Parts: sequence; structure tokens; C-alpha cells
Amino acid sequence: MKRVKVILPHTGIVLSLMFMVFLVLDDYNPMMNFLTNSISTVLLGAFCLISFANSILVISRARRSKESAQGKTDPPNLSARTEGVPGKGECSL
Amino acid sequence: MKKNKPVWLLCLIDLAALGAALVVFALFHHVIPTQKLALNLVSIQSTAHADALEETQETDTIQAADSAAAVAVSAQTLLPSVPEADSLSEQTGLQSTGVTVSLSEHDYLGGSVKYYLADLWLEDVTAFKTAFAQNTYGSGYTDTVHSMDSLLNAALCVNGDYYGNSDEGVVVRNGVIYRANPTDADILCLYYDGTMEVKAYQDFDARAEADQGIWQAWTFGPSLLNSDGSAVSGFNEGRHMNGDNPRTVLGYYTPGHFAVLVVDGRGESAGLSLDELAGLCEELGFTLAYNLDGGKSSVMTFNDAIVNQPAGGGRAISDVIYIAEDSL
Repeated sequence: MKRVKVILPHTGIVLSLMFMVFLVLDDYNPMMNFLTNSISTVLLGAFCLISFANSILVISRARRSKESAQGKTDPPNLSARTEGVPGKGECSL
Repeated sequence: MKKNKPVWLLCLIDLAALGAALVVFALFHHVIPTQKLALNLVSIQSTAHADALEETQETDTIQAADSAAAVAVSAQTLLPSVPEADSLSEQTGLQSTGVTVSLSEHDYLGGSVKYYLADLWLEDVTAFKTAFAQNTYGSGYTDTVHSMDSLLNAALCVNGDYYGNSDEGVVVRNGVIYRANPTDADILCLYYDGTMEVKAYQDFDARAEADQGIWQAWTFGPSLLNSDGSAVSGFNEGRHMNGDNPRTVLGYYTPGHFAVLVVDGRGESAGLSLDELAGLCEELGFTLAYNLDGGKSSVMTFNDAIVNQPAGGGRAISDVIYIAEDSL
């Protein structure tokens, strides 16, 4: 899973650069049909899935980072800490 | 803890992966020969198209009864008699019963451009043939025009529309419809009755065309002339296509009278833009002119020799248009 998380963004980079190349080539020679042939359509589908997966991962990482950062900076929850703890004048024994 | 790879190394890996992916794409897209499934719809050798044309022109005649230009057309008189030729040298012309091919070389635009014009008179349009490279319908099958000229025993041979580069468009060769897929490009149709028409894909119905007697069809374009024979202007085919390039054009005068035009470029001859090409076709008096694959693909052979100066020595192409020596 860790390897997938590492490879996924790079796959996205490669596919996006491929389509940039296709856009340039299609402007240069539209008759060769670089953008709408069957192979490009499959690659576009793969690119969409990878972008979606990458975006989910980025959002999920951002949320976790935010939550862990909030956990460090929030003031201690006093009521939670005093439950089960002997109050003034009380003895736990 | 594992150390991060340096950024430059990551960029290099991604670029290498991009290169490999593009190579693999190219191999599967247009390099590796791949036979394709064909429609194999056979056209009826009929005068149905001529009859349809006659009906249209009769209607136009009735509607324009006062017009002096109205001409009645009958299927029997659509194909012209081949004109008597004065003496033709072996290098510049060939003639037999029903077929005349004459070739001439011209300078244009003050000598900066050279073009070659093959004038064709055909009593039987089936002399106007096409062929696939390696005799196979598919992508990645290519051969040079000169090589195909020898294999086909052609008197005149020129590149076609390089159908193998794309899955789009219409491919009709020697009366067989191989493909009729959607395309934005103009489609050039040649019928058994010797007439030529340019159509949009929306107007092309494979079965109807087979019934109407379609003989050949190409998908490349654009069409260079308006219906009145004037040059189209303001082409929007992309920067490279619009620029000065070698060109191949199929021209049409009247049923049975055609022309093949090859313009040299990217060398001593400067080539023509699409606007200039359309202007030339108008000057030559074509009633219809259709742009085929150009650039390095533009090669014409006559009597087994290459007659033009192909850019970069030419390239292997997927199909040709030719007049066979046994037609002459």
C-alpha cells in the first residue's frame, strides 16, 4: 500500500505529461488522431482514476495532519482528566 | 529512517518513464502492423449515382428554366471521349483507348514553387485505382510510392490519404467500403459514373453509397474550392497544416476528367500554404479540389521514375492512387 502511495503521484505526472505531448502533436498533425483514438481514450480513463485516487490520498493526509496538529495544540480536557481522580477532600483509598 | 531521493533523480525517473510510455504508445498506435476489421461492403457498379445526379439537375433545370446555364445530363454521356492527343513524348504522356495521362512540370509564384500536374482522361473510371501498402488493410503497413509503383506495374502513382494513421473517417477502395467511421474531415467520393463529390460524414451512409456505385473515397481534406470553383480562404487546420508544405491534390474537372497535382516543398521549392494551394487549384480550373496527405508523403511516379523532389527523400505511406500500365 505504501508503494502504491509512492507510485501513484508519479504515474499521474507521467500521464499528464503524455497528454500535454498529445495536445501539441494534435495541433501539429490533427490527421494522426493522437487524442481521440482508442488507446488515448483508455489512457484518459486511467488518468482520471489515478487523479481521483491521488486527490483522495492528499485530502486524507491533509485531514490527518490537521487532526494530529490539533491534538498537540488543544488545551488539556480537565473534566476528562479529573474523572476517577479523587477530588478535594476525597480519598481514593 | 530512509533518506529521501534527491529531487533531480525523481524528475529524471519521471522523464524516463514518460519517454518509455510515449514509445510504447507510438508502437501500438501506428508502428506495429495491425490488421483491422473491415466492413467489406461491396459497391454496386451502377449508374444509380448518375441517375440521382440527373434527377437533381433536372429539378434544378426546372427551377432555373430561364437560366442559360442549365445543362441536361444523362448517364450515357457522363464520361467524356478521350481527346485526340498530339504527339506525346514517352516522358510526358501515355495514351491508349479510353485512357490519357499527360504530365507537365510548372513553376509558380515567380519560380519559388514547383509543381507537377498529371492530367487524366478516363472513359472507364475503374482505371483510377488505389492500393494498400503490403496489400493489407490496417495500421502500420507502409511502403514507398516508388516501391508500390513497381509492384503494381503503375504508369502513374501518387500517395493517398494515409488512412492507416487513424481509425477515423471513410475508406473506400476499388469499390469496397472498408470503413465508415465518424470524422470531422471532408470526404472525397469518386463514383463509377466518373463524378466526384465532397461530403461531410453526416451525409455519408455506407449502404446508400454502395447502392449508388461508389468506387473510391478518401478522408483527409480539406476541400479547397467552393461550389462555384472559387478558392476557399481562411483555413483552420492547425499551424503546421496551414503553413508552406509539399502538397498532393486530387483535382476534378468533369466526369472522367481528373488531375493529380503534387507541389514540392521544404527544399528548393518553398511549398504552398493551404490558401495558396486553393488559389492554384482555382487558376488551374478545377471544379473540385481535394487536399491529400502532404509533407514528406507527397511523391509522384510516372513511367517507374519519381518525378518530383520529395521532402526529406519521401516517406513510406499506407496507400496509393494509380493508373495501371495495363489500362494503357
